[in-house]
Amino acid sequence: MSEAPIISIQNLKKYFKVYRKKPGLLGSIQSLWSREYEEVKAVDDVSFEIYPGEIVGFIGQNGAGKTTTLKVLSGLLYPTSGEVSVLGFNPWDRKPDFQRQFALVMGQKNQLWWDLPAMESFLLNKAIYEVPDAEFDKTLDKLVELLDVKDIINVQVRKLSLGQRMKCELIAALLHSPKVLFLDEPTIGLDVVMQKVLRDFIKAYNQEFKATIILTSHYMGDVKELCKRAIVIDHGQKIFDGDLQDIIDQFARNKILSLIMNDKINQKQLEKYGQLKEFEYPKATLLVPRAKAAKIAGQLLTDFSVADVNIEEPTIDAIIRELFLSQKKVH
Amino acid sequence: MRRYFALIQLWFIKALEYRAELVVWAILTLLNTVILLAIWISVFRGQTSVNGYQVGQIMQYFLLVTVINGVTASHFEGWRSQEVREGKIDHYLTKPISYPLQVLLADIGNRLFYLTLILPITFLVYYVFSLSFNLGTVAFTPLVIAQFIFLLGVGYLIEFSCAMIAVLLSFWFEGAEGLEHFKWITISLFSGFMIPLEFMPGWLRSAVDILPLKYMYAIPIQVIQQRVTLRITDFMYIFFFLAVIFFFQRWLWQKATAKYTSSG
Ligand SMILES: Nc1ncnc2c1ncn2[C@@H]1O[C@H](COP(=O)(O)OP(=O)(O)O)[C@@H](O)[C@H]1O
Ligand SMILES: [Mg+2]
Repeated sequence: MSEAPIISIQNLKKYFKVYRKKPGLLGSIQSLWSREYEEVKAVDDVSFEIYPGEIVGFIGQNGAGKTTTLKVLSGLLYPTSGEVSVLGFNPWDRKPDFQRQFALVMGQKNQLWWDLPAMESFLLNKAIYEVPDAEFDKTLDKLVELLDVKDIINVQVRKLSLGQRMKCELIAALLHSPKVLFLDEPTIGLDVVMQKVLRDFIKAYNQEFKATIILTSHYMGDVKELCKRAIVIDHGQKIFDGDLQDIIDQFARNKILSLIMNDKINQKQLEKYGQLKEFEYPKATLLVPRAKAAKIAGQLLTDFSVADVNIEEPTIDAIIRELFLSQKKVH
Repeated sequence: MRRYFALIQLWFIKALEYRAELVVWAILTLLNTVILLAIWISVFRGQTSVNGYQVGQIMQYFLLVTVINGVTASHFEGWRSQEVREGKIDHYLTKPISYPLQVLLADIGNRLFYLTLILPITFLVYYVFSLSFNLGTVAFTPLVIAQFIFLLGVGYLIEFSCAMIAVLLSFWFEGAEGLEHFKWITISLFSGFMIPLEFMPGWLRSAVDILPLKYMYAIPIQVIQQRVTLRITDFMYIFFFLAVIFFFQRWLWQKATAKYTSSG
């Protein structure tokens, strides 16, 4: 690409000092004078560049260092070492000019005022970011329409469902029209329908506002649908950066077929169709080759009386395990 | 500037949600005042004046204490420290107003709401007591009012800074909010909150004269009762003290922010 990167990280390290306490009262007393510290290498020498308008999937298992990286990019955490630049700023300086141009949304932490309608939190952000009235109305209308939340923005936040709350969290974060968006597991805990709604929204937002987005997620579906490029990290280190399709082709050769049977059948009968992962009547889970998934599903439907069938992507964890194993073999 | 007012206003609205809690707090404060007044009435029984105060003036003293307390006494140490510990201040830190300033604006909003509760009730109590006691009329000259309001601001900044320092220390220490109790005892003792200067034993009086906390309660009330007027040395001392605690907070904040681990 000819453009300059909008986000660039070079040799980023972020180590945490955590203190280990031996269990029990004795341990507590001991820790009064001698504490044992241990270093956690949350991010360990990671480099990458991201260009304007990209949506990049940032994936990795639990504890891989995704959130920590996003927190460094947002200026929340001071890096142990390395160079970080976002929109030409060092995030750590927390310059208001920088802060006006990005947003961080975390599925696990909320910024909305719990006891008030989301609208009050929107107004708070309007004041903080100094969004002019006309622009605020326009942006809010648009976001409310895209997310279909007209009826809930005046309801106390604590009375909303998780999905509704997440939608409002997104609106709160986007009212100042950030150019760069860090989304940390925005779909966590949501049902499939709501995941899809948010996914579509993120896509639309990226297209409409040309925003640059880094998205972390546990759901392969999210990443697959939204991101062309993926960065995979594991134990604080980058193990892949490139076309998502490449990972899928190489390391997600299988898809998951979930079946609910009407009639009793035995295990043997199913094993012919693929690798049987789970079988507990009436539920069965099969691993089948990606390319043949649809065909096998059709076959099953004709051969048995099936109440429900679902084709799913393998979990991110499974893909990363394979990816990780393959890299070990190389070295 | 406009956005600061907008923020104060929104936090005022938010405080409305917790009005029940604040109403209880206001009632307790007033109960406290009424009990204090009853005690002082019995101290004055059979005497027209003690240490230069008539009974009406001493009652006026403690009603003013309630008003000043309503304006200045911030206590957000508890929940703000908890937010820091639980890594819940992330969203303040990514926004283009510094965290301490957001805390200040939020607190001003809360204070203003509390005032709308406490002021009418105080005036009601004032009125009720003035029916049976001569509370001493006050000449509200512009000079007196200006000095009083100035000192209210000073008192507020001192209270706010103490609370803020506790919150900032909670970046390092668990239980830093416990400093609230230390603050409360120190201010009660050395500011004229519990007893007017004239009633203090000698050793306490000398300590109070040296310390700046007298500008929180004793001096503003003396200004209203026209016992003293601020002198240039008072202003110098006040500004010096405020500057010291301001720079201390700034220094702490710079350290704290590098220390922040955003857990959770
Ligand atoms: N504030 C913190 N203090 C100590 N250790 C932390 C802190 N935040 C994260 N870690 C550790 O750093 C590692 C990476 O965490 P994180 O970035 O949250 O991973 P991910 O988001 O990929 O699940 C984990 O081992 C985690 O325990
Ligand atoms: Mg995470």
